[in-house]
Amino acid sequence: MDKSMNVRQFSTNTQNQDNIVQARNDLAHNDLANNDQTNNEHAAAIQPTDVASQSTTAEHSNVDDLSWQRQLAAGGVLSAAQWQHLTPQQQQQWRQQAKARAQMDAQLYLAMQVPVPAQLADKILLAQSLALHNEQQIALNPPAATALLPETAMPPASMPSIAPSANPSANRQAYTNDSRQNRMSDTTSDQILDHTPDTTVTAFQAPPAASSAPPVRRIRWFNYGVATAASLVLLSGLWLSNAGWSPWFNHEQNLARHTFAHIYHELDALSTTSSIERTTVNQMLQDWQLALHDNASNQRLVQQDHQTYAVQYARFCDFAGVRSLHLVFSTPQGPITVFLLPSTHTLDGDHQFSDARFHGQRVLIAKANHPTATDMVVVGAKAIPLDPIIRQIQQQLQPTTA
Amino acid sequence: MTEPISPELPADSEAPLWLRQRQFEHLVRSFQADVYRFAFWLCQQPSVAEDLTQETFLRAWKAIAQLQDVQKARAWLFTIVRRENARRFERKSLEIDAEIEQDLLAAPQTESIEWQLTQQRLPELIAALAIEYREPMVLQILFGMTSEEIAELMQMNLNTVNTRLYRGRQQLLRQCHALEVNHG
Repeated sequence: MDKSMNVRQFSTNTQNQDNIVQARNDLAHNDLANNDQTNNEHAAAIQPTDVASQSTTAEHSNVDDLSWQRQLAAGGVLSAAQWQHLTPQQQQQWRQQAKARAQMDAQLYLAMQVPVPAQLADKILLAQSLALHNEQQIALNPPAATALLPETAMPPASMPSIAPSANPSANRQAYTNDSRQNRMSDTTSDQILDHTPDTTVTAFQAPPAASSAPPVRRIRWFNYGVATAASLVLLSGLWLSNAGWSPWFNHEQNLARHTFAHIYHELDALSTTSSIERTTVNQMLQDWQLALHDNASNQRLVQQDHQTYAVQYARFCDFAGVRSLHLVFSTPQGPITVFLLPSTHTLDGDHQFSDARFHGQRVLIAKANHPTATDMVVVGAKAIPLDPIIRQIQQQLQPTTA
Repeated sequence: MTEPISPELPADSEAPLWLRQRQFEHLVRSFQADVYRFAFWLCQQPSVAEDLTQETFLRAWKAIAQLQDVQKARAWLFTIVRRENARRFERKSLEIDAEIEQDLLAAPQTESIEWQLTQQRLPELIAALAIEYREPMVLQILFGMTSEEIAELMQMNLNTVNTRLYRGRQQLLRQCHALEVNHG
């Protein structure tokens, strides 16, 4: 396709609301070529300029358009010289796009604000303290550790000398090699060496004579073991104490998230004014062994001032990977969304949840002659108290005996 | 691509331990959320992001003497996050210059899309973006970094960063539009 046509089409589209819709369709179908003719006609209608000057503008703005796009994406700032270089029409386009981009970025910013795990800073500081503690313990207290284990205690004559070694460098090298054999990380051993006087290094070494290395290694492994065990106990305690990590919490999150995602995805369902026939809804309810009852026909319920809510929306939907029935009841307080979930779903536990706009509850409907209850998720606008409405809906959704 | 700055162990710690620990605690409390979110948008798994965050700060602790300019603390931490993440994935560096020219054929951009229906699904759309587009977009939109700062952090050409930002937005718009079409 001719690039200048592309640009001309784009320039026209951003000017005219109808053409924005057209361009969006173009994006979806990726079928720009078919629309070139129409859009060029639009361009001619909006800007009755001669063909020659139009194509010159298009050629000229070919590069400009792309550099704008990048510049907009990069930060939305044009230099004064660049700005003056643009035609008024191009400046208008820039303003429109900058505004649209700011709106888009605001939404993206909110979407990127993922929740940070609770007590993350405390966990990091704890891990750092443990690491520091371990390093200090290993670096500063090896002789004391030696005395802890009776089998490694040695007669005074064979105790390692704490006098400065005649050859400190050789000792450091030997210590480093020894550390590596014990699979200590290089960085840790280097750091220890950097902060450890040569006397300690010497003391930490086994005497050269009789079968010295094994006891020292065992002590060091013992220290590591204790430190690691302590770390694990502390961290796992912290982990378990944090409800946000438990699988139940995640399920609850999933239930709420799926519910709200679904409702926002089908917001139109809340504003529809149609009313669905009871027989149709009952056919859909068969899978759940439920049927819609008319409270008005039940004298007892009428006396208790029960109302019958009309169903304004009914559809089988995918809910967290399972087939569910999505209903919207029309109540005097406003539309109430109800999801009926099959007994096979994996979202468990009792839940109440809310976001800025809606709140919801998960309730169970007992079924006659069925061991499992039906899960029902009821969601309404925050201003609507859910409990009385749930009672009404439970009265309407009665189990079938079949 | 050159290797990012390497936070090695300090040769000698000038500051006393208590002071370094204070600095470290301040660093953690100031930037833990940013580091976690950046890590999350790199790896897209909460548990991995948390591990990355902890690893990053432990490395930062060992190298805290290197942090001279507090103004650059966040970029410095992000560099460590990127390196820690890169250890998990050997990312293939992309061809840089070939990308720019292809934009001449880019589809027209219409940002006047209605977001009401799609905004709830934006996180998954962002997550579906390729990492080379997602990363600069997160740095720009979530952390307000300029293209120059992003280019420095990602060790990349400025034009490449701008191109990726542009293309990332284009892809998101297409995805949003596709969602709307499917829904409508």
